[in-house]
Amino acid sequence: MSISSLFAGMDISATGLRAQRVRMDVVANNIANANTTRTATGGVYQRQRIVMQEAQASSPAAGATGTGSGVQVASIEVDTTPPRMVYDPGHPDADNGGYVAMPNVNIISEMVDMIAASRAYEANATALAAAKDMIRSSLSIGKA
Amino acid sequence: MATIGPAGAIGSIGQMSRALEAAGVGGTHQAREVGGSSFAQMLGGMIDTTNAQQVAADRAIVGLATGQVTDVHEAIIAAEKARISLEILAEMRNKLVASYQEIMRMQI
Repeated sequence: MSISSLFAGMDISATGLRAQRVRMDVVANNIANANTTRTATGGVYQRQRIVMQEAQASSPAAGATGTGSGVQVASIEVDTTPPRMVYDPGHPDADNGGYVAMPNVNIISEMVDMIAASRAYEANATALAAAKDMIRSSLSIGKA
Repeated sequence: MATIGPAGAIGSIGQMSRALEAAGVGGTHQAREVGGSSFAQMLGGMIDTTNAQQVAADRAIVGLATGQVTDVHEAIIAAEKARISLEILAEMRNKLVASYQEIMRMQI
């Protein structure tokens, strides 16, 4: 048994922490671009969403006992729901009818997603601390 | 970075384990039969892994300071792994010394 398989639980939780951090980044980007009407690809900003998948078993976090090896971010996809049309004839990006295409970002659902990401990060951090405490308490068996 | 702090101390433990190996401790017939490798080899492997964890932790902290590591938790986890494996190694060493002293106290 290698010593690194002791830390499989910690490595799995680390993948969860990383995924939730990326999720948080995506939410922050959506909130920052909630009013963006111009993008590099042209057109209005479209809300981004994260797609997660189970990590490949060949990753270094793979457990020795055939357990999974955590999560990874598969891709960051674009939400294709149509943009919000706002009547604002004075806006430089308004169409002929005076409507401006605003991003399909709902700030309320982004805030909810942000809370969920931060709580999920906490959950992974707690799992990591529990795995660490288990190793440390097994060390204390030999004492006293 | 490899010789900073605890890594240097591990080096001296490594010398101790090599001395043990040279003295034939753990090289008994039964020990080889059970594990496939001697106890001294196992301990040596453990020392190497602990040293690798220490080096990784050092690297992660330097990476965090220089901006190469973007995830704070990566560095903290590397440091925690290094600490726990050092604690395990110290515990193994304590057991080894305790059993050696027990044998030395034996009445002949």
